[in-house]
Amino acid sequence: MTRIIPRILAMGLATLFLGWPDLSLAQADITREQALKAAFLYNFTKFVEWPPERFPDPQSPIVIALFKEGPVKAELERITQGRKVGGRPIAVKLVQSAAQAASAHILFIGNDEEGLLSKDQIENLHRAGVLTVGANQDFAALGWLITFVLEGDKMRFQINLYAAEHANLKISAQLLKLATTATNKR
Amino acid sequence: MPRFRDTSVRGKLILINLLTTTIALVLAGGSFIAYQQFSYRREMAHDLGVLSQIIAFESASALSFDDPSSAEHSLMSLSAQPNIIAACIYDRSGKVFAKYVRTGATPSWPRLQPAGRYFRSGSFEVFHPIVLDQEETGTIYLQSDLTEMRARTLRYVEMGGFVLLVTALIAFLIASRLQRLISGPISQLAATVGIVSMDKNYNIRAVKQGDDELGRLIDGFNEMLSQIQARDADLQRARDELEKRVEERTQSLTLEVERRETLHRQLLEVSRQAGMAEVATGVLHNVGNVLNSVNVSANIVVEEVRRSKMDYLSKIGAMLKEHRADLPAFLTEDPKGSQIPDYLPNLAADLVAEQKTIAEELDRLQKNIDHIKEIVSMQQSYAKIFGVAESVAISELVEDALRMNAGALARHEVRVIRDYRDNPTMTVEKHKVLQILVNLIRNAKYACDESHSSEKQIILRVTAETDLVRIAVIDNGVGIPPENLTRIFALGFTTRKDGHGFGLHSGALAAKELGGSLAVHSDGPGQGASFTIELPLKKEFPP
Repeated sequence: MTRIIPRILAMGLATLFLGWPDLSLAQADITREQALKAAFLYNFTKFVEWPPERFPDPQSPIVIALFKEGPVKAELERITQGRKVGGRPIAVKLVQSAAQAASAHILFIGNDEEGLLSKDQIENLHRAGVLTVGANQDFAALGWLITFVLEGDKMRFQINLYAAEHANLKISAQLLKLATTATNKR
Repeated sequence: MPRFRDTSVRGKLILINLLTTTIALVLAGGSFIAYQQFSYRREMAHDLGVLSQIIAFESASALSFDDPSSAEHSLMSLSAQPNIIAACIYDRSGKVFAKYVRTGATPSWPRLQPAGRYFRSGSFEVFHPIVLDQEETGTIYLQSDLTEMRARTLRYVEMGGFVLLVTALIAFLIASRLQRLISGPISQLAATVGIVSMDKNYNIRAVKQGDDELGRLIDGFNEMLSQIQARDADLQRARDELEKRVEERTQSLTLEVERRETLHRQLLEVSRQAGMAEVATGVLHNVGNVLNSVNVSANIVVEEVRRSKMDYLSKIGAMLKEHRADLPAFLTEDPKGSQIPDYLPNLAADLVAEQKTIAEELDRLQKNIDHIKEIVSMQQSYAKIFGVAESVAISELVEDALRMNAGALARHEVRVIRDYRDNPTMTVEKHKVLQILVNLIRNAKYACDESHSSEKQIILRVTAETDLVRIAVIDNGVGIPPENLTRIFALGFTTRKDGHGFGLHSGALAAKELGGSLAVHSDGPGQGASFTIELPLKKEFPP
């Protein structure tokens, strides 16, 4: 008995601090930047509207695809666990190819993965209605839809409105106003 | 300050009007302001709710993407709302994420509190949750000051006060004019009442102006005045009449008194004369009786003298003269002469007896004559020395009275018992006492006579105490019924058909004049009666 109570307490505390998708560092082996990116990826789902044909049925999950395992994926899996956005669960998937990524709703590519996809592939993905998110400013030139930008210690992002329109996505004005720049270039 | 109930009707009416108006206005204004305040608060709560909803929506993304500057940008839009002095956004952990402060304000930041509206002393605060996709991601806090509400309330109060003043003024003016409708007649009535009560002039009348309650009051007042006037006239008439009647009555009373005095004097005179007549009757009776005795005595003496044996003595003398020579022989031998020595002593004895009888009879005669003389002189004394007190023994008075009735008492075979337990001598007007006693004794005799008893008796009892003497005349006659006891001394009361109801009355009067009293007692019809004279014993004169 006496041992159970502290354990329950510890579990409760853990749930309280760790179970929420807050901006605090969840694990020792994840950087603040990675955690923020994971949280942002999750939050993007709330401000972006995909065309209805992207979902086979109302309960179909919103799929976030990554090419690699890593802290971001792990964090993303942790914070989206059991959550629903617009009534849909969120699934985190590992993909190997651009073709595989086309079935996802969001594709995130890490810092050192910029060479994995060509500009055409990215455009194809946009055509397929995929929200492409690049890990840093370098992806912007490649035509990625959203790219993270680090301003000092603040995590910000850019939005490519052309790409968004191309992908037939509706991006909320609330999200747009937070973007550092919203370009309309190819 | 004079009390309200003592102020004039005019003042009261104006005051009442003003008070009513003021109270109505204050109530209306007060409730209006209270309602205003209430609705303002509701409005403000609603406004702040809407504002916080907008801010929440605006700042949800900033909160999600950790962008306080964007959130602050959203909050800056509040600067269009001058009553909002401070606002902030708390993140999920309760830390202040972004804040807004109206320039110049120094707000205090409260700890995160549950969503809701809070009215504080000088401010109104709202906590509103920021919900994103059914997930509470933070809280908006808005703080509004109440200066506008207060300013607005102040304006209302000022306006209300102004309206109140103006209305009160108008009400006062109207009341001042309209109150005359009511207070005018009342004042006039009051003035009339004043004149009436001051001058006692009941001829004036109050003037009626309308047919309302006041008009009726004035009618009633006038009616009352008329009645008072009529009553006054009646009263005056009655008073005059009464005076006249009193005068008449006084006059007649005076006459009556005079008449009574005269009557009384006459009565006293009659009484005295009656008493004297009584005495005279007694005297005559007694004289008559004594004259009988005198007559008898005279007859006896005449008879005695007529058949006196004196002749035998002269015959013996002649015989002795004839036989002077042979006197011894004659005395011894002669048959006749020899009887003389024996006869002479007998004759002498007879003559002595005869002389004795005559002497006795003469003695009685003389006594009777003396008695007559006495009676006559008594009568003369009673008649002459009227009103003069004499010293006399009571028993003598009683005896005199008895003597005056002796004939009648003897004739009716009434036994007289003399019970003189005391025999004081007192100085008194004899004839008055005698008059009373004669009357009482005669009454007693009548009472006995009427009872037809075989044992008629009168007791005369004299008793004395230190300062008074009682003479009681007690008979065993018909008695007196109780209802007559009280009026037996009244003038004109009598039970005898030939009585005049005067005797006992004058007796009582006489007793009173002597400083005493006459009382009666009877146990009822057939029980006899006793009359008691009480007389004060005056100081005895030395003989």
